[in-house]
Amino acid sequence: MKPTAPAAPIRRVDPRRPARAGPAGLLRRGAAGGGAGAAVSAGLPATPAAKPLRSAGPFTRITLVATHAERGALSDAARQAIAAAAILADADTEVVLAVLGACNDDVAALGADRLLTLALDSSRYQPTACVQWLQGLRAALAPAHWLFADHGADGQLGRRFAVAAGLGLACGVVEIGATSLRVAASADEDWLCPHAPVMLLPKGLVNARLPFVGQGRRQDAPPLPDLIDLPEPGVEDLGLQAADPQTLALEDADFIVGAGNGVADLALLHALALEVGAAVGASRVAVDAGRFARAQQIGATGKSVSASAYLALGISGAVQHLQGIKDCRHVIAVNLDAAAPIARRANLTVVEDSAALMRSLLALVRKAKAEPGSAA
Amino acid sequence: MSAVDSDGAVSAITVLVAARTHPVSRRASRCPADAIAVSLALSLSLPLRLLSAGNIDETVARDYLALGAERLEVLPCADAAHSPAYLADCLLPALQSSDWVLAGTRSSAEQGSGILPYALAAALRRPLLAEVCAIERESAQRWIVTQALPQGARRRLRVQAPAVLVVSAAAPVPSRHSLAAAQAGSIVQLAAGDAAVAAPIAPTPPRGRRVAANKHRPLLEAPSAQSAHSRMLSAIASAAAGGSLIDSGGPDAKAQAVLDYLRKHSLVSF
Repeated sequence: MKPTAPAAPIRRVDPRRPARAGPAGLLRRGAAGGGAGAAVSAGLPATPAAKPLRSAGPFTRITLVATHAERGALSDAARQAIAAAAILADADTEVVLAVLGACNDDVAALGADRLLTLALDSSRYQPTACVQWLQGLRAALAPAHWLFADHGADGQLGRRFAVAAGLGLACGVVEIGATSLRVAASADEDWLCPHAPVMLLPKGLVNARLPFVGQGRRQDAPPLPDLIDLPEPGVEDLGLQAADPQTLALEDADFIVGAGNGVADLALLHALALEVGAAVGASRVAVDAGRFARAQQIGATGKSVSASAYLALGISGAVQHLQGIKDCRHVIAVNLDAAAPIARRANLTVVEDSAALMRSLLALVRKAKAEPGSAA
Repeated sequence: MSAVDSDGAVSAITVLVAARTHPVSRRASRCPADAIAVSLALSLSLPLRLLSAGNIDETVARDYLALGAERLEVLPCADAAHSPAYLADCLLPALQSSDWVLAGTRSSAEQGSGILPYALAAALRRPLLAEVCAIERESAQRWIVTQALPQGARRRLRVQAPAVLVVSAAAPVPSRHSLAAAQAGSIVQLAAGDAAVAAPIAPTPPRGRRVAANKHRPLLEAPSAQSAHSRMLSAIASAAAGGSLIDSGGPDAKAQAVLDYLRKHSLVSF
């Protein structure tokens, strides 16, 4: 039996030894715990580097993207159309974004170089005036390409404009590349076509994450006061009817109050939803507990909603629930646990008991409605 | 202004119908969007004809007739597959005499461009109403049409004939299927019209080559020369970095913060 060797100290390398940022932002951890470069405290860089400008100009050609804004925000399909325009544009092509209605989004980050907005009363029926406005832009800017999102009002506007202007139109596009596009011909075959002057792009053809930004200059569109009163021959507008959120399907609702396991006072919840004009949804736990109907469940096994505003009360935010609210634009979370997963998804997180907040919010809303002048 | 057919019937409404290739079985079948337009037109109890440009299978035609229509007319049209311009030229003479023209909303999944009603409305100089989900009859010449807008909103419009209506695919219309109607309905072959219009009235799509479809459709992406490290960082970064957090103050202050947020983004109107 061999005598035991004297205990030599085992050389251990601390995996959490300080790192240094090397060239190209790579973290370097030498065996001695360092190297050249600035010391990095955390594993990941805190803020991503600012993106470079796509093109500084001067521009000789124009690609124009026309879209509608709803409540000052652009739809996902419109964002993808702008991204497509920015990707397809070369260095001397300017991406101009023409928006019907006010637009509060950061259009430079979306890839647009210039933003033209037309103040438009969206409650009126005026498709002819919108087409006339685009015809005016065509005369003023002479864009080489027009891009529209093939989605709702944008798709209708694009078709009306292409017919009125007599420009070549590509719609039903299933794939778009740098020089060509594909339109489905049958189940197994496509038409491979060059880019058309007017292109309608449905959602899902473009990766809207851009490695660059546009210039994002804001400019008021040429005011066209005589267009606003353009009559629609043969059509009389009888007005807009907002849907009753209580009877609306959750997929169509614009404002949803979602309740989870943290909500016990159902009467208060429904009173709040009625007062703010929201539909009521629920998480799986609350539905399984029998407090809500199955049709109100939001999430992977329930409904996927695309509301502009989602107020999550007492919802922790399981991944299955977050899947269902993937397309919601603004998420406000009310939860007692500030570390709940929904706080990472929410645009505003309030750490509070849901019942206390609902009572306060209900009182505030009732007060604001009673004295309309008090709104900021 | 109503059309008088050869057997003396007056047809105030024309519904454009076509066959489609079923996405799964690949058989020619009735297009659901067109069937909704037919059902909506039938609920108005006005004289009605269905019109198909280009050949339509007998079984598909009978499927449309099974919805309750009495008559389906087939207009011979050579190049019905690709060019909406040619299609519109063919259809134009047959539609001049009809007060109301209805069509369905074709989705791109059904190889439809949806441009035909717009081209027809422009050529006929009639107003076009899209996303129609309900029709009330004030008189034969004047309808009140409900348009479906996003987020469940509705717009009501009073429309004077003649007009072109595109029926929303989500219109809540009950559809029936009657074997008796399918067998009793008549399929009439029309004589080829003179489609020699000088200028095409619909925008022509760029002519292309017919190629095999890609199994995997690549996305259009911006070219970027990134290191593998930065690609990994962008892949694991969450899209939303998390918003602001309010954990101090009483419930009233927090409720005020919520209300301020809603007002700031104009999500509420009070």
